[in-house]
Parts: sequence; structure tokens; C-alpha cells
Amino acid sequence: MTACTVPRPQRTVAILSFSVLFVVAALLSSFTAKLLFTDPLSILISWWNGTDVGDIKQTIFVFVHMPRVLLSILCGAALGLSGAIFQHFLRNPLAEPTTLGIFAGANLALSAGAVLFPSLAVLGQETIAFSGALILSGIISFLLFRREQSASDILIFGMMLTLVASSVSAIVTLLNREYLANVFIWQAGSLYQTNYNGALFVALMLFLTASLVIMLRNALSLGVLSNDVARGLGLPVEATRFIGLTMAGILAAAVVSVAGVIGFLGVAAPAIARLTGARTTGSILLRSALIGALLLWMTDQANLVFSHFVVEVPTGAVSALLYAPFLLFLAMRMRNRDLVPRPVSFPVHLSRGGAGTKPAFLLLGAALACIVFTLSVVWTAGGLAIDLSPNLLAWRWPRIVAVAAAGALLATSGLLLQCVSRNPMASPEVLGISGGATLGVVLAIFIWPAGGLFGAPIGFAFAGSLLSVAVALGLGARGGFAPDKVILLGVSLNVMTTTIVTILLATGDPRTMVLLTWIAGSSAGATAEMAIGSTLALVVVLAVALCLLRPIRLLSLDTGVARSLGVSIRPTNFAIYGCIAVAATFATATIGPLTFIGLMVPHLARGSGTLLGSNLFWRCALLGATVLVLADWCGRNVLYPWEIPAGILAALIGGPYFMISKLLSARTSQGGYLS
Amino acid sequence: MSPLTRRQSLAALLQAIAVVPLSASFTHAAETPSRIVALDWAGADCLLSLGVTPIGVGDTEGYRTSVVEPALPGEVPDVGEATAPNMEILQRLRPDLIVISPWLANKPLLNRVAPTYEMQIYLQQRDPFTSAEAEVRRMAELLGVAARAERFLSEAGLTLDAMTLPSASRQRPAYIAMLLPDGRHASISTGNSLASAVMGRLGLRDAWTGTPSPWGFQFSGIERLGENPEATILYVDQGLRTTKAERLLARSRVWQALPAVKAGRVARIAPFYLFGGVNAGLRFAATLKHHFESQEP
Repeated sequence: MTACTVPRPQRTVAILSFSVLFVVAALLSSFTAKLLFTDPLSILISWWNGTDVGDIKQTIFVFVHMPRVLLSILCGAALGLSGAIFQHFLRNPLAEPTTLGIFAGANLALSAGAVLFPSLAVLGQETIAFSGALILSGIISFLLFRREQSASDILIFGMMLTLVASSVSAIVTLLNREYLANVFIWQAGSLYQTNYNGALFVALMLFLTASLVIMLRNALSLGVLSNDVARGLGLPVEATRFIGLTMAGILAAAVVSVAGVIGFLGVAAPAIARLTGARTTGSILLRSALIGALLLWMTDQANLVFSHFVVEVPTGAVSALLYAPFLLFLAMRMRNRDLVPRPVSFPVHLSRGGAGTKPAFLLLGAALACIVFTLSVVWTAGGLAIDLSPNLLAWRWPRIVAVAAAGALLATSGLLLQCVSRNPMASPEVLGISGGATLGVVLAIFIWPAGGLFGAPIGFAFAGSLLSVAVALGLGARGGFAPDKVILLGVSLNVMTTTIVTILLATGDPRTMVLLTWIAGSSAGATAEMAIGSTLALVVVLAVALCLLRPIRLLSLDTGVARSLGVSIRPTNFAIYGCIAVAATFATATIGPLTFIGLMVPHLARGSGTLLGSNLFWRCALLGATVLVLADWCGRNVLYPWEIPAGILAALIGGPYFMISKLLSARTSQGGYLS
Repeated sequence: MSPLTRRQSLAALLQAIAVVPLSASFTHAAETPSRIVALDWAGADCLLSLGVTPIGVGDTEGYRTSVVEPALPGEVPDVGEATAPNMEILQRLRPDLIVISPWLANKPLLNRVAPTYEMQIYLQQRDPFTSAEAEVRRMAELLGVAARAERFLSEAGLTLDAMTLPSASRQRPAYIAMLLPDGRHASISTGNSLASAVMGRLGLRDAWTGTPSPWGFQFSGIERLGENPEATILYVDQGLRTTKAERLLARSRVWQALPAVKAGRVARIAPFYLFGGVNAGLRFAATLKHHFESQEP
């Protein structure tokens, strides 16, 4: 586990800090009660005495306000405990329901269920969300109970799921125009209740988990030892892990089904618990639950005051914005020994000849054929037809060229990232570029006065992604480009933007439709300038990648090996991450933030056993272009005259591909690459 | 069709490569637009009221289920979703004007096909119904059918004037809301929606007492429907979602404690398009009249 370097504070310090937190929360609480109900005490007394004063204030106080306070405390405790349990068993200080993707599972179930199976709606939002979260935590327990995964692997899994969930919910909303207001409110995390059922449910789950934890306390405290030692002491390691992970998952599912997504409390509470000097497993779990409860209680009460005077903001989103920086903080503090080393994933024999070293002529032919086909054949009212009229081609060619370039750029940057981060599950999406770009578009749509400025999103996306890249590179350079750190930074950046988008969706502003279209990745707005710009970017990126082929190969082995063989690490890393950033930025501006091309295509390209060499880069670029051009064509023609954004079509293939490959790789004992 | 000459094909090729299609740059010269595509449904409403049938509408199916009136002729082609219309269909239709919602459409992109016309009904300084009326006049002027606009508007005005609500119903303000299927939240009209503008014309007050939200609707907990104890609650029928909400609310202590619910002043009313134009407003007015007349003993 990550031991703290801070000197161990006295127990009194911990007690003092708890009391301070409690007093602040209680004071805030009485202030809001006074603010909203003028005389809460007499309301409470008259209700207790059974006198119905006939005033609706009494009902609101007893059935809206009090359940809310109770629920905030219970949910906080549940999330704190759940996070602490996950972190204990996964030996990863960043694991918790949000980062593990459990909330995303619930989200996926809700938004997909609302539309694909409207008959399921009779079950109610709570049941659907609960089952979604439960299924996902089941998958996590299955994947992770046997072995430890590196910090970033787990987080990337969760991040990907979160991204898939948000894209599914975008497409569902776009295609249905059905107002999913309640899903948006749920996504933003609302503690608003009109009865005690939710609080009771969470309390019950909390009680069950707490009693299990107490029963298993001996096994739990052995869990800090390495697996082999624990096994040697007679501990059924796998069984304990499985039970623990499942418990934490159920706890998270209970919270998410009642109150929606309350982000990152599960990271913050245990982190603070450790800062207060908790060292033993028992004290960390207990203090995490306590701190979680106090934090969420406080946050919610403060948010009530804010809502009263300024504007109503969902508490879950506020909590995500407040506590996501903990993720960043912890990621920066992690030392390399906390990051579980992984086996080398790319075979880097510098062999010449053999399979796959022949130039990728076949792929080149396929890519060209695709471009010609998509340029000329369209679906019209009368069926498939060849239409080459110049005024239509003027629309089609920039689009197809831009999409092809974007596909190639994404695939290349994905391959580069997977090599230098030595993480086969890395993809440009996790670098925070998509998050930055989305933030830029949000600014363009909402901050700018309505109307007139629609063309700007491209520029804003550009600015946003460049900014996020600068941040990631700057912080990454400080961390010496430790691959996992760069990825964790990207994940944190993504999380911030996702939260802001969620808040906007929950306001019900109709302009969110534009935002959703962009997130879904429509290529309809591609201009000739973009097509030419992306093509030039592709040429530059490929040229740099091919020039740096040797350092890339060596870096994909190990930083130490590369250094000893004469690679200057910092400049090379700057050049490579710079390339990745440029590529992903251009691609994101064209095709939106989400495609998974960068994840999927490098795997496909390697499928035939191609070695890491120039040939693999060519294959990747060509395959990426082909896949995305085909997705774009399908998107334009499948639901004619409606357009399904190409980005989302690609993501709907790439997302599941990723999950399945992850599931398959979990069955082999090796560190996760498919072949 | 004769085979293309070399010069013609070269011109076509140049045109294909040109960033701005030649066809679009000429349209500014045209005086009265006649081939109009409406991506905005209030715009389609406005056009049809002026006797102009648009040559294409965004999401025709959605229009027919949400806007309903004025009826869209069956042969009007669908050009896709308003935020992402099918540009090739648009190009094939060769419109000389595209009517858009300012906040939903990609204007620079659409301008490459034809000039755009922004419907200025929502997010304006005045109430949406007055804006909608002004928009009919502005569009009529552009299309050269000013007389037709006046006729339509005076008919609409007469229709509204003729809809006198029973005097008892005008004593009470009303909440217009949509119940969300979680049984806890509602989207409530906040006083500057089309609905409250129409209510104002009919002499009915909007019950919302808080600050208005820019879009006229705000998500809130259901307890806010109790802030104005005199009010009636009218919630818009959204099919299954509303039924679900009703079922949950029947067991909700908070809902049951709302003064309007206690007194039985709560009803489900027929749907209307929330971001519509004059006709959507008239439909809502008719719904109100129908509701209050059926309440009469």
C-alpha cells in the first residue's frame, strides 16, 4: 500500500480534525435549516408531537430536508468505506467507484435501458441503475480478484467505460429527442429525496458491509501482506478478495441507485484518512467512512446555501469537482515503486524479414478502394447510387479526406502512446486531449452569446486540447514522463470536463444538443482547410515517428535500457508525446473526442504478427483511415437521411472490442496484451 | 444529356475543389426566397401559416408527433436532425433560404448552401408569444406576403380573444409543469415560457414566484409546486413517463401535501410544443380552455 511519508500525527490530532469537521458540518446544517425553514426547531417539535400544523413546510422539512441530510451522511460513509475497501484489495490508492467505472455501468444501464428496452422502465430508475452498477462491479471482481493490476490499467478500464457510457447516452439523446431529464439529473448526482426509502436502503447496505468487515477483520489485516505470504499464513486470498470487492461494489451500487453519481469521494476520504495518520487496515476503513460522511454532509449543506443564493447545482457534480483534484494530487505523489511493473508487451526483436515485413500494399489498396467507394456511392431516396455531381463532391471530399486523415492520426498516436507508455490499453482518449477539446467546445457554445458562433467549436476544440496537452506535458515532464503518471494526469483532466458537461446537461439548456452532437463526433462540418491541415499533420507525425523508430523501440522496452543505449530520454519523450498530442488534437477537431480508433487499430494491425517497425506504422495509419472512412460512410447512409456521427459508430465498435479484449486478457496470467 | 466538354469538366472539377460552392455565393442576389428549408420547427410553423410549404424540414417525423399543427404535407422530405442535417440532401434540394434556431444550427456550414434565417423567438427581451408574432411579420416581409401575415395574426388574435376562460379559473394562478418519471422532480415553467405568455393573454397568472430561467423552464424538486398555495397544477401529458410519475407521486407524502393536490386542483393536460411558434401557443390556449371548461360544474 502507499505508505505516507508525513510524520505520524498523534491520535489527538485525528480526533481534533474530526471534531472540527463535525462542528463545521453541524453549524452549516443548522444555518441552512434556519435559512430555508426560519424556525426548524418548532417545526420538528410540532411534527414530533403529532400536530399537523397544516403547513407544507412541515412536510418538506420532515420528508425532503431531513432525508437529504441523512442520505448525505449515509452516502458519504458508504462511498468512503467502499473506496477504502477497493483501495485495500487492489493496493491502489486511486481505486474507487468512479474511477473503476461502476458509476459508468449504472449510467450505461440507465441511458441504454431507457431507449432500447422502454418496457424496462416499469422497474424504475433505481432498480436499473442498481443492476447496472452491480453487473459492472461483478465484472471488476471477476477481473481483479485473482491478480493485481497496475494502477493505470484499472483506471483506464474505468475511464474507457465512463467514456463509452457518455457516448451511448449522447447518441440515445440525439436519436430520440426524448427528454432524458431525469437521467441527466441522476448523472449529476442529486441527494434530493421525498421519503426515507433511499436512506434506509443505503443504511441497510452499510450495516451489512460493516458487519462483514468486522467479521473478516483478521483476514483483512493480513491483506496488506503480499499474496504469497498471506497464502502461506493460511489465508484464502482469492476468496477474501472476491468477497471484499463484491461488498465494496454493492455499497457503491446502492449509493448510485439512490443518489446518482457522486464523484471521487471514494478517493478523497481514504486519502484524508491516511493523512490523519491512520495506518492499520481497520482504522483506515473506519476513518474513511467517518470522513466520507462528514465531507458529503458538509458539501451538501454548503451546496444548499449556494443553491439558495446563486444557482442550483447538483451535489454529486460539486463533489466530483471538489474531490477530483485529490486524484491529481495522489497521481503526482505516487512513486514508481507503487506502480506495479508490467511485462514488456511488444516484441521488439529488430528482425528483418519474416512475417509482415513486406510493405503494406494490400492495405494501401484497400484504403484507396474505400476512399473511392465512399466518395462516389451514396444512399439516396431510390437506394444505393453512384452520384458524382460536382456540387455534392464539393461536400464529400473534404469530409472523407479529413476523416481518413483523422483515422490515420488516431491510429498512429495510439500506437505511439502504447509503445512509450508500455501500456497496451492506452489510447489518445485517456491523455486528456478529448477532455480539453470538449471543454473548449463547451466554452464556445455556452459562454459565447447564442448564435452566430457555431463555426468556432473547431477552433475552440483546438485551443482546449492544446491547453490540456500543455498541462499534461508540463506535469508529465515534472514526473519524469513516468508512463503511468502521464496517463493518470490525463484521466484526471478528462474527469473534470466530463463533470462540467454533466452539470450543463442537468440544467436542461437546449443548447446541450449541440454539445452532444459534437461529443458524438459528427464529421459533417469538415472543411477543405481541415482536410488539408489534418493531412499535413499526418505527414509530419508519420515522418517524426519513422525518424524516431529506434528510440521508440527502445523506450517500449524500458526507460533504463533506452538510456543505457544512448537515447536521451527527455527530448525524445517530448518529441513523441508532442507528436501524439498534435495527432490527437487534429483528429479530435474533425471527428470528436471519442472513437477508440487509437486503442483498437494498433491491436488489429499487430494481429498478423507485425513487429514494431516502420511497417507497423504504415499498417496502423492505413487501417485507421479505412476503418474510420467506412464508419463515416455507414453513419451517413444507414439511417438515411439522418446521420449517425462517425465517431460514435467507431466508439460503439471500439468500446466493446476493448472490453472483450480486456476480459480475454484477464484469463491469461500475463499482463494484458492480446496476442 | 450531352457528354461534358473538356472545359465543362474542368469547371466542374474546380467547383468541386472550391471551398465555397459556387451555387451558394450567388443566392444573395435572389430577391424573394421561394425554396425554403426549415430546420427549426417554429420556423416551419411560421412558413406553413403564411401559406408557404417548405421544401424540406428537419426531422419531419418529430414535427408530426410534437408540433402536429399546422399539418406538414406528406411529401415534404426529411433533411435529418436540426443539429446535424444531411448536407448532401440540403445541397440537392437547392434551397435559397434555410430557417434555423440560432442556438442549434451550424451557421457557417449551412451558409455554404444558402443564406440562413434565424428564428428569434426564445432568449429574447420580450415574451415568446409576442416574439413569435413579430417573427411571422418579419418572415412575411422577406417573402413578400405581408398581407397574408396580417390576416393570419388577426385571426390568431381573434381566436385568442374568443377564448375567454371561465372567470373562476382566472382567479387562481397556475403552474405548468412536466413531471419527471423519478417521481421527485419536475420541469416547471418559470414565467417567460411560451406557455406563460399565452396564459397572460388569457388573463391567467403563472404561479411561479422565483426568478425566471432563460429558457422558461427549470428542473426543480416537486415541493416547489407548493410555494404558491393558491395555485392550480397543470402537467403536460408525456405518455408513459407521465404515467410513471403519477404512479410514484400517488404514494409521495410531499406531493400529497401540496396545497393544490390536497384541494384536487391538479390535472394532466394535452401536450404542445414547448419551443414552438404562434400555432403552438394557440394549441396550448385551446388546451387550457378545454381543461377549465370541463372543470365547470
